[in-house]
Amino acid sequence: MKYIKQTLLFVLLFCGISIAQVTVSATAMGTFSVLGYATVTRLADLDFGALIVGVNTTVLPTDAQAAEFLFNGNVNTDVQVTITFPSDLICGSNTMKFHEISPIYNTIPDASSATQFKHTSGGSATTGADGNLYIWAGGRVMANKNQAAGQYTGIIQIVVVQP
Amino acid sequence: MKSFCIIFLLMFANSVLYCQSDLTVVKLNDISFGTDFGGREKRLDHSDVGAAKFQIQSKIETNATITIMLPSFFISADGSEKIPASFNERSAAWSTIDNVSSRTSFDPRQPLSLSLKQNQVIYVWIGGTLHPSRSQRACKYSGSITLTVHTLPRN
Repeated sequence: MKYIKQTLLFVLLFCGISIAQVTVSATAMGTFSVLGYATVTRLADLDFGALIVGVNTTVLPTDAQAAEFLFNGNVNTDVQVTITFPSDLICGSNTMKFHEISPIYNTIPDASSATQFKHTSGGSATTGADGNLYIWAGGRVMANKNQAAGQYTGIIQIVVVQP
Repeated sequence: MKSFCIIFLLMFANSVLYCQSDLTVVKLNDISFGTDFGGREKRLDHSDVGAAKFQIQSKIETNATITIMLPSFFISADGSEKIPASFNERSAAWSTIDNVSSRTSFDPRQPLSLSLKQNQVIYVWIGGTLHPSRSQRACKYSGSITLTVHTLPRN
């Protein structure tokens, strides 16, 4: 009888403690992948204005009518710039040949002191202390005698690869 | 004395088994902030698909305290890079049903007390915000969230 009393007392105490405090847990893992900070902004379109039939019209990268882009990424970093020009400007079913001119770049917004890329498709360049790299692109077009009137457009695409 | 030991051992086994199976916590989803550029704050709401999700199940009626161990940083695989992580009073939510509209928001930085009914299921979702710097190295970062449920006797 003595043993039974002791057993019951012990078991009740033990069960009380066990049931009273139960702790369970689970863990969720978290992930996040970071791409290097970079943005490219179009600051200006390339504008040839009104063309004179049979006359070459050229917009140099240093001209105010040139296309202008701003890349902002890591500071003082070598980047690879690739520029794709349209082969033709298009107006409905009509086309006009587009001729590329090597674009230029600078770390400040000043085309007059910019450096020309080695190729019309771009090349390597270095961002400035604020991560900026300005790029200007021009081109040459000519409306032939039979060119249909209208607004001709094309797309200049820029890709900047930052390591 | 022999019978005492046998009874004791039986009761010991029963009590432990009883307690372990009465309360469970299961991770249903890891937390995924996806992919983004450095320099941009990356916020994940508890209602987003990438939020962490846990399921708590209690077979007994009890009072429970939920505590969540949150990461201060997400860390790169080599441990050399860190992204600060932050949580606020609306980063987490709980509900008795697996539904967005019925959720109650709470602050995962503070313990949450709940009264669990018999055979009740509680879902907990946790979001948060990461603050990668502009110069943050491009790579994969990871962290962990641990949810712990501690039950107390119900008065």
